[in-house]
Amino acid sequence: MIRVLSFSLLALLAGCAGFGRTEALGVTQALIAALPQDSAQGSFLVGTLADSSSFEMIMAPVKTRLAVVRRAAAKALKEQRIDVVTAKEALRLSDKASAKIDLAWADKQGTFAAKLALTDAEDLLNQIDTLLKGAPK
Amino acid sequence: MKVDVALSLASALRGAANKAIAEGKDEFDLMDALSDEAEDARDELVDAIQEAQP
Repeated sequence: MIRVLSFSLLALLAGCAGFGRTEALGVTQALIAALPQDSAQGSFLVGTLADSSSFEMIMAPVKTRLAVVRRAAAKALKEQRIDVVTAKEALRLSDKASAKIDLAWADKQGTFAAKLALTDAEDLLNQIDTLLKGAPK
Repeated sequence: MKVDVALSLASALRGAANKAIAEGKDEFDLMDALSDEAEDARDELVDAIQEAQP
């Protein structure tokens, strides 16, 4: 179990190589904290992470952020911090980001084109963040 | 990476692992799991827009 865990952490840190050390440690700690307490489930999840390619681990945070910004936009609309027009714009931008993420994943080899598509997706997600930041808390 | 993204990623992984176990599977596809999460979030946003429209 410990050997598998060590291997997984190395894979995770390698996957997070594009991020800063603090970010890599942050995501690793978050994932460890999320491991099910049951040892069988823990081994299962750790094994799954160990199998992930480094490009998957680069893409995973971007893909996760897509869900996070969509949920943030829905919450902001429900709390009337943004209007329907802004929410629709957030939806439109998120759909464009999703298409870029799919494009990057279709490549899978981490080529320049894939990384460019991923950068475009992050720019679109940043635009949604900016839209939501304009809303009062 | 922002903390909310890290926690959301961890939560999605845990949810997908538990779902796979419940279905008797011994593995799941990470990208498929995250795609499901993004689609669920999209549905939430679309529902919120529909509810907010007069």
